[in-house]
Amino acid sequence: MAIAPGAWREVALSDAEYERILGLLGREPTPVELGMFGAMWSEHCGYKHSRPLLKTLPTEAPWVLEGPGENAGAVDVGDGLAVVFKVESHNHPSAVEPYEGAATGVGGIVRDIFTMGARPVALLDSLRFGPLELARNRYLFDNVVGGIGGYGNCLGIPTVGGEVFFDRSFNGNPLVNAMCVGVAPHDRLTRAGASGVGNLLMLIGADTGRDGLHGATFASVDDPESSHRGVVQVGNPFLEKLLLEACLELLEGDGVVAMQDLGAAGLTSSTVECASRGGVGAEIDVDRVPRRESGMTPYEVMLSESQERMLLVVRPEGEGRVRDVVRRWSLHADVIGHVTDDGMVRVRDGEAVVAEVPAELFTDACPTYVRDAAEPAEAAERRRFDPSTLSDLTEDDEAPGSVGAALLVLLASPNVASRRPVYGRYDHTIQTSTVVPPGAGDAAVVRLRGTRRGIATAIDCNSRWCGLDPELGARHAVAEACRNVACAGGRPLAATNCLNFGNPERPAGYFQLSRAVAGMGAACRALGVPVVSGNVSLYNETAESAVLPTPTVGVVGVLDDVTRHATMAWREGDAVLLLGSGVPQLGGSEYLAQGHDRVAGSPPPLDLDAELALQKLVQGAVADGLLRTAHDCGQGGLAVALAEMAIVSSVGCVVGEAPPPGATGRTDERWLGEAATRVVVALSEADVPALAARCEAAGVASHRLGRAGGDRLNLAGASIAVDAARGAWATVLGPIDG
Amino acid sequence: MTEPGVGSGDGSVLAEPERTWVADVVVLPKPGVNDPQGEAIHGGLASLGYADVRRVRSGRFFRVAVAAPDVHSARVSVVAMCDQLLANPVIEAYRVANIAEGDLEAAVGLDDVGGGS
Amino acid sequence: MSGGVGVITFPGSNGDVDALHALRDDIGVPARLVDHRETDLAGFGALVLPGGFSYGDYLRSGAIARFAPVVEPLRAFAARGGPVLGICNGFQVLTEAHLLPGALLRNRTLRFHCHWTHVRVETAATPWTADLDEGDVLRLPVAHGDGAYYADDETVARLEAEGRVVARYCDAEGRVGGEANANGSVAAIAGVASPGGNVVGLMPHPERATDPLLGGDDGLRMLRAALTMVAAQV
Repeated sequence: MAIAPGAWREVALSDAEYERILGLLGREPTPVELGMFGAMWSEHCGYKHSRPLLKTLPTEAPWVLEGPGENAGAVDVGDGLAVVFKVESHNHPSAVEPYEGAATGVGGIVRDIFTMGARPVALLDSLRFGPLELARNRYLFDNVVGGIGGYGNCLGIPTVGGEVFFDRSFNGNPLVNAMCVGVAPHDRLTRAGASGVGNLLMLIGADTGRDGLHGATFASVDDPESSHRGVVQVGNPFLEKLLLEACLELLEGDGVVAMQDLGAAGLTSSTVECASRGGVGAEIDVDRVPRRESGMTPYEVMLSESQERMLLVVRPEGEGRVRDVVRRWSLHADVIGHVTDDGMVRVRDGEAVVAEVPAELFTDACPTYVRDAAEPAEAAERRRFDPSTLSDLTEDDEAPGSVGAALLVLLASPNVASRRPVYGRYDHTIQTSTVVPPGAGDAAVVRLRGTRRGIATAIDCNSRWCGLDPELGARHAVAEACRNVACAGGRPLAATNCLNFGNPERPAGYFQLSRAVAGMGAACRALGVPVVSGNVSLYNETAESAVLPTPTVGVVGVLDDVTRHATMAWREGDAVLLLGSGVPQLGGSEYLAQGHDRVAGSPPPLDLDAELALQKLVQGAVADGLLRTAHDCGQGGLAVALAEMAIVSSVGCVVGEAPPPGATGRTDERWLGEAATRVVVALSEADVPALAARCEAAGVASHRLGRAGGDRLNLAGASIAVDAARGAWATVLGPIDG
Repeated sequence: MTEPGVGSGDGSVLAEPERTWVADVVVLPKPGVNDPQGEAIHGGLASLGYADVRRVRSGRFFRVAVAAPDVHSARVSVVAMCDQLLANPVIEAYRVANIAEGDLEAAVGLDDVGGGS
Repeated sequence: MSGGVGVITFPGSNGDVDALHALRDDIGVPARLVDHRETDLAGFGALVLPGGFSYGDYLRSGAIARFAPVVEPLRAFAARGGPVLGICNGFQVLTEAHLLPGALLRNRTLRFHCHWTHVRVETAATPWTADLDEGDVLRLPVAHGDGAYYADDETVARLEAEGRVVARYCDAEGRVGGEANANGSVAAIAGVASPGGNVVGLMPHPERATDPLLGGDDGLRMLRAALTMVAAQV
């Protein structure tokens, strides 16, 4: 069948790309081949715009067991254990059908982890929505949260952390990034490359339907709501639970040499990946793929994105065992093809060959693009804004414009308020290993059963800062995620990233993407955390606007003794200190956004050496048992950080000493300005000298703020009942249960 | 949509007492959309020995009593409800299966087909 | 064979391993997982139906699990007076199998809830509460979407009269109901027992409250009763 003129545009290939395919093949592609090229050369699978940039990121360290290129990255945490983790976006499907989009996003990232032979032990989510005042945004928010819970809860994987941020740029463009962390003994780590000519390709899990046809392609074009076609994927977490258990049991024994989940571009990408990673060929017969629906064409079978499926590479003598194990988990397994030695991906429909292409043409030959970059003028203009033109706040609590009143407004900001209305819908106690649950500390801490160790994990990005300065903002994202892990007591080991950006074919979009990756690389190098896995989601824009650039960073760290960890809770009588040299300023702050309705100014500078020294100091003090209370000063600055600690502890504080001034000496800046490299700690008076000595030795600034105690928050001339602060903060995002 | 009570001030809208119509609405996953619940129920039936079940699609059933002057406007109203709330048009199809004048309680009739205990 | 405690695993159970760890590692009682297709339960001193989403909780929570092959022998085990504890989804399975009265409905908020709660022990006359006293307050996690206990007035009156309400949601001081009854259970009921007292269903998760490191270990106070059951078995 001939390819109709322009048909390639239907699968989002450009005219030049189609010419390239003609040249590589030396003939016209078949319709099935064209669809496969469209999927594999999409941004989602082919990383056309991001590959040259991603190459610049650091990916190696002695403790890295598996870097980018596999289904997920893996690091050594000691005791022969590997921690496997990755973050992935499901933005476009969630914009179309938020519950199922978010649910299947969780399903996909979980499969990436157990494909590696690791048992998933924790989920985190990074979410972005437009303001909740718009009914559509409320609908998206409620259903995304519902979908994450609906899938993760059923799988029995605790959702232990995450973040949510609201900004107008996410109207119609919600971001849903899901991160999964798993644990495996080193020797159980499994890779996805096929090997062994003659080995069988077996498909297990769900039958194949017409779900999400062209999902990968549509993740790579603007405005998914108007362009989405095909059938929306509906997840089945029950089936995934069975698949998870079956796969882990299969990998415990012999016979399975590789495993690859079917995610974006379904059977196409899994077959291609298996062949290209293993340097072999693969032949499959779509006629042997079990279908959920009748009348499906080979094209549809190859591009279906039906969920909960897994492709196994099995030694012929292992087929019986696979069938037995899979049957015991109430699933079925089908041999759909085998490994060949000719490097070709060959697709049959019974006797007929419907596609036959060297695997490398789908992968290595995928074009990459370096686009023109130009900073959007509007962002440069915003960044030049000078906040000193605004009226300042006062520490006179009786006067209008007091810090106390502004603090209560900030606590009620959707970007600051309690996340419990979100995480209260996620099971975070299952697996009985959650030591620091969501809301209690800066990072979640999960114990590793059978060892003394634990892991701390956090996911972060300040989208607003990235919008104002993508390079600096991405540096901050890495620093903040590491700082949160360190505050909980974890030694940061490695990072995973999810690059959520607008259209890279526009100079503004490419500018943001390329600058953010540069900043991320610089911070990762300075802080010693290689990027071991990740995902790219571009074209997050509608006709009206693109999202704020959001290079989400997930970090995993290790605690050698999990009993020595920190939360943000302080105790009556504790001394309260501010550590670190960060100088607060108003640029890009939550206070500027809420109090003055301005997203403007330059984000705070970041001294990565000072940052590393602070993180090491705090992490070391927690690991040595000196600190049990540490909290990063994040959005809303010092006053919000102190209020959060008081609320979580139900113990107030008296800040008798003025905190260090900000960049310009303003009152609002001192209390509500934001900076990196600042951590509030609390400890018994008796331990203060030991901490001071450590700060002295490490060259980390330390400033006494006051003392924890009572039931009021006394700071900046204000005295606010802790219960009143909690009241302002608790139910902004929704009701709380129990 | 109008607010409840809007137009009742001058009585002109309520010049004639409206009649009550009872509509039955069936909502099912659209053809081709994965239906894990239907599959699980199918599996449950099979394990009970119902080997002759070919397929199960699971959905929801609503019975809505609506005030309207005639059957046509009642149907228009119920269809709007389906589009906006009762069904999720992204993944579900619906059918207004039956619409007749009457009152909702009297129309139930589930006792007739058993299972009331 | 002395099988200790059997933890029955249905397809979709996900609290089975937690229950096993709690019993075997934290309490120190012999225990193993029991597949839903097993039919010989004679050797066990006690059975636990764990939490999770058996068969995805499709149709109704626990509705499909009750037809699993293991359920008939479970029924016989219960009829002989063997101690059975259904936790969360296990409680739902026991009500669907009519081994316990009532049903678990959607939480009144229509949302999934995950938080720590308190429950007041209402009777010591079950093997699972034998080590506790009436009025004891335990702090345990809940994690459920269908947790609102429901039974008709007559059934609730009978449960009350026969002392078969095992636990109720309360605050830290033991005051029952009110805000503490977050899921909207009738009479704030968190757990009930069979007429003989040997079959108990409980919505909160004692197997998740097994270590102060995790936020509390009150669950051990209840689960420790399994030691007695297994010892009595010989």
